[in-house]
Amino acid sequence: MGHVSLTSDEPLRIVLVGAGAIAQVAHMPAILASRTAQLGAVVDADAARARELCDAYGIDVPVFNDIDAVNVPLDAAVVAVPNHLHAPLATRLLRNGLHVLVEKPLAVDQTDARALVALAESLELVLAIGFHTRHSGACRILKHCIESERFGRALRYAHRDGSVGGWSPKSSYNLSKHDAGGGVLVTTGTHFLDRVVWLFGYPEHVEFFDDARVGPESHCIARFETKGPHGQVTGSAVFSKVVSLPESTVVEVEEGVLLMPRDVDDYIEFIPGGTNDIRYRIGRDSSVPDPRNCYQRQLEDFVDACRVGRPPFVSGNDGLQVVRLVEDLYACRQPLDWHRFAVGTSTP
Amino acid sequence: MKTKIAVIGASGFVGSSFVEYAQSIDELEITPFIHRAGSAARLARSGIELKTLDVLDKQAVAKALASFDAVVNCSRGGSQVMLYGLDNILHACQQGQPKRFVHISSVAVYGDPPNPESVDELAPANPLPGSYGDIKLKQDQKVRKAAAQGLRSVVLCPPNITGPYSGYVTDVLSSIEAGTFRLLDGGRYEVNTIDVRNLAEAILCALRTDSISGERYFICEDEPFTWADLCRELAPLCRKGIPVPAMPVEEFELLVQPGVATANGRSASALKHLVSDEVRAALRQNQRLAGLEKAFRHGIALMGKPIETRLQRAVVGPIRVPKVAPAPALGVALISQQLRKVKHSSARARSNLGYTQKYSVRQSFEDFRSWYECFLDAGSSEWSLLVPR
Repeated sequence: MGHVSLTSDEPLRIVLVGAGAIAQVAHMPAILASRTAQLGAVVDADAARARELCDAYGIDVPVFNDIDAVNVPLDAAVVAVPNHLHAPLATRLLRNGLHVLVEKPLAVDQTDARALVALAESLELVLAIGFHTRHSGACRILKHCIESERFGRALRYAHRDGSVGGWSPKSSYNLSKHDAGGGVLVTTGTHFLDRVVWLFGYPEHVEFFDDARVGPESHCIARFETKGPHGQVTGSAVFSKVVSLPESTVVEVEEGVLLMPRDVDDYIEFIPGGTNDIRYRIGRDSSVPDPRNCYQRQLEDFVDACRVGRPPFVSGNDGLQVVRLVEDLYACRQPLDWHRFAVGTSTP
Repeated sequence: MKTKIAVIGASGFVGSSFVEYAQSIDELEITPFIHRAGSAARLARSGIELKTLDVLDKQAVAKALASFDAVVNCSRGGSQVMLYGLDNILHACQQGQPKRFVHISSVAVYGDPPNPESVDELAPANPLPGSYGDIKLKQDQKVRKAAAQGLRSVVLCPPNITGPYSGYVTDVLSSIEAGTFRLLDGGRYEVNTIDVRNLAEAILCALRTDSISGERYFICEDEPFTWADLCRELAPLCRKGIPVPAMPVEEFELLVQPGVATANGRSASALKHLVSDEVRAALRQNQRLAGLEKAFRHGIALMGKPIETRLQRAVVGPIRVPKVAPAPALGVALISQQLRKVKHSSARARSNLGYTQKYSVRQSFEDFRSWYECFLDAGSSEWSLLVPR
């Protein structure tokens, strides 16, 4: 496969690599909804699954069971496969001259992540990472409020995200530490880890507790300390697949509390200190409604980056920082003492 | 030689807890069957091998269960899964090797609120048609039929399940903190609970005992425990919402039941409807009726404004202003559970299955609190930031 120079206004021709659950519910509709992108092909190790995906959306494009078999002109790729395949597939696609948007995490270890970033830079190709929630209005507004110190300096933050059940990849890779690159920290927590680095800077000190025994952890607690230009900020996050925790991010600032109920919304709330019943809703300019979801915004940012030759909003380097943070957290892992509560081990 | 046990629905709360419990027992070899990877993280952390099974695939179920000694069914889902899935599981047990079947039912088979006679299992089971309890009752009937055909089976009926990881207790706690929970009549009514570890012990007893023939057994904690007690046990975890506001039962029942119109009220209501703008506009479609209405209105107008106003008020009634006050939306479904008022007894389970309650209610909630504080990082300085707002 090869690509044509992106000087025209024609849509970017994209190959979707991976026809699993996230491709079906997020990436395929994002590509189809966009006026700046066009689906050129679908690749999946199971070509029948790729064809089913196309049929589900009434799309007639070539499908292949290997990226080397693709024989249509393309400009870019969206990679949505199990985590342990991100780096090898993205590497091959970059070497084939395609810009790449790869689902998070960038890779399952720093070595692969660094190599990918370096490769993309050397080939002058765009490498974007699928932290799609960063494209929400809520995240951008929160960033603005923290950076501008509009309500004072950030002091502490807390984040919770837990669901019993929920996302169920078709390949079940989430149940394999090797295939997922970790447990719930990776499958659920990396969106927030990306935001920690983006909002507050890379943490100077971290702590990590989880309930893993032999397999991947199903519940974890991470704590962070950052010494940034605005002073020290401490924070904690809990990610869980065994406790239902409505997603919530709270940042305490000098004048009150910034609350982000959901990271895919387009608003946050500010609650002034000393009040219980006053809250300000801070949102995007509603005179220009943006009906695109975060996946489409992510895709179109990627397309624009490919066209004008700029870094995407979430770059390979951002993805590398998250891989690094995941490794730093696992390196200081302490076990959560859940054995006390295990059936048959408590003393009644 | 170990007894080979298949656990269907192993990724659920009961299934996971039983698998973790039973793994520590040398005489048992446990194989967990799950439907979806998304729910299986708790089991996966132990590195235990999980098998995927769609209970609606009859052939796959028969093949999967053929070589086990016993099957424990903890599966849940829509009515198709619960009914046709169970058919497939029972068929597989009857055709294959499994000699023993334990099915997790629910006290909901006795209705919600339950039949007041259902202190023991022999009371009639009359759940609302189409309800969760109705589906569970149909399941119980299938198990009983299989037992009559020779499959040694037992049905265990737990109430709300508590203990570490309990979604139910977490929901009650969330409702208290959100201010949507109320204690009816001061919380004096009994609440039926069972610690998940006690239920796991009951499953084990059912697998071991010989005296089983498709009967249903309550598995509940027998010591007195009221809703007020429950709130007291959770109070140390609550960042707000304590003390839980009380509400008289009568006030709550008025909130949830539609008002009953009196006879006079019905006539006035009918008349109001007849003279409403919508009805009159519809009637005016008919020329003759439109003419009659015009003449009637002209006649009323001739009587003068004061009489017209009095006539109108006599039909429509005075302007009514309801009492209003700021109040959060109430968690009606949860509050309604206090109206169940029946304490189910595990006496038959103790005598027939050899079941003994290992964890008291107080121990159960003490362990829940410990687990919750540990898992939710309740000791951290950021814990207070996440107080429900």
